[in-house]
Amino acid sequence: MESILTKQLSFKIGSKIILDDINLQVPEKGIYGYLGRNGAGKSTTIKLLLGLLQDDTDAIFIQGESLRDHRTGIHAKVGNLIEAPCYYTKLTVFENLKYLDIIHKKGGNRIEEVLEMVDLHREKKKKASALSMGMKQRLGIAMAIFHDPQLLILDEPLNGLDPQGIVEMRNLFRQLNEQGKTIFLSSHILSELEKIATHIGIIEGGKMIFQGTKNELLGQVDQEVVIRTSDAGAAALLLQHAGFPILKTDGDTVVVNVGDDQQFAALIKSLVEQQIAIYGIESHSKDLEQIFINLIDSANG
Amino acid sequence: MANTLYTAFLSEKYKLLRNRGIFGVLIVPTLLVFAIAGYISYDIVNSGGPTAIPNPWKVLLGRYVFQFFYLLYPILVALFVFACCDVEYKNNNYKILFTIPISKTHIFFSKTIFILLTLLFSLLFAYTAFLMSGYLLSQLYPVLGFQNYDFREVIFYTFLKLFVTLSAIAMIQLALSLLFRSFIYPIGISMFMLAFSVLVAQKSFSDFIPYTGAYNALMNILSENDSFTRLDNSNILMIVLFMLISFYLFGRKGQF
Repeated sequence: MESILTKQLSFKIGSKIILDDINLQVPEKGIYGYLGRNGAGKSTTIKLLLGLLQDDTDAIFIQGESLRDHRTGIHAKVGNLIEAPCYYTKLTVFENLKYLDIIHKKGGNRIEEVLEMVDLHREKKKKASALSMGMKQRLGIAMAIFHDPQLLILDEPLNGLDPQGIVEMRNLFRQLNEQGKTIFLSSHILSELEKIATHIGIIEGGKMIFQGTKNELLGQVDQEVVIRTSDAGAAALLLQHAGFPILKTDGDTVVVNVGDDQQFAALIKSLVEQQIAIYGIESHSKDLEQIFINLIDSANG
Repeated sequence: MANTLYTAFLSEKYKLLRNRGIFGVLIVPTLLVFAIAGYISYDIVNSGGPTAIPNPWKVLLGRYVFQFFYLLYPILVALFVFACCDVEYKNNNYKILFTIPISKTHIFFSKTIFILLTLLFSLLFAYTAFLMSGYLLSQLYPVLGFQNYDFREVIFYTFLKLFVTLSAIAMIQLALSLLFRSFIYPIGISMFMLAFSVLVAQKSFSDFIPYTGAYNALMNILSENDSFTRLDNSNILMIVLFMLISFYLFGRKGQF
């Protein structure tokens, strides 16, 4: 069962189409990275998923239930952090969580537990307004996970965190995922998403241009292989005949485009069969950032 | 988790009671009554001793207290109601409010009940302070004659009618605070309406302006009027009307 399912979700403001036929399929217990440029429709999607924008078409299903019909019940199972963290400035860190405890009735230990999880226990008596930006972000995450939700919807959760904070939060998300939580997150830090996401959705101009597993996305593009050989000219000729696009030949080095692991194995085999000595091989996979830019460019013609 | 009005009320109470604006509306009128009683004592000492006054509850304590109340209370109520909405405006906290597992209807009515209960307690404290001040003055200066008049009924109805008036004003201010995010508009409108209501207080149409009720509280105590009038009935209707308008505006607030 999908944790989040949308069926041709569309949204307009006036005559302007913000989202067009979005069919999100976020698998249960996965970590789904939602990517898109500024203004692509990410935040609108997230607000719709949380019921902060009205979807009259009954196109959103969370944990198998229609959001339109089971709004409050769904909110009990979903934690969220949208754009900037929300918290009550006049309350302390502890009081902000106590406020949620009154609603969710999780008990006193849960507050301490969550404060430990986000490493805010030393700041619990501080007014939320007096926290640093990174600490505020941690408080936002603490408020999102307080009620032990099955699904976390996080919009830019790593904003304002220092490198150590980013690593800690990444580990926290992994830990929550291992406990069986589904995490839907958008982030501009693509390298972080690449490290953590199991599934990726890419939106551009209000339309989904890719949705699938991270491996499916990374497998869509070729990788560059740099080979240092005893005879670069012969190697280049051989590989060209074998159908590999040669990108560059330079001294004893040949740079080739390789599609997948089978092609890579075939490349090595043909060099060895022709008794061309291989001194070194480096494989440069394209990272998520390059793939993202390529996909956006091709979507825009 | 319980999606009940009671849970919503407990959470609202917890959050809002940690706001200084709330304590202002609760305590300032009470402190003011005691301050006026202190001023009366100071004046007596400075003028060489007390002299007998016909009905000092009305002419002395009531006149001073309600002269302040009719100007102070509506402004305090406007500030307090705005403070209750402002906690959600800051940081765009409506995002918290509308993603907790409690229905918007429960959240709205818990806020409304909290506002009305705070007003009720504020007036109860002020009412108690008023009676206590009169009693203390009667003990300190028996010559003034506080003990010679039983004015409790008029005082009770004056405070009751003031509660109705302030509840109507609170609901109007709630609608304005939900409509305008900026502090200027709800507070500005309340000040304008207060000044306007004093100017037109003698006109018959002023019965339909709840802000007139604050000024009328002073007139009620001076004229010993303890009956419900058209203004009071109109104010009860205004409470319901503006509560419904506020409910509609609150529902629309969820649409970011």
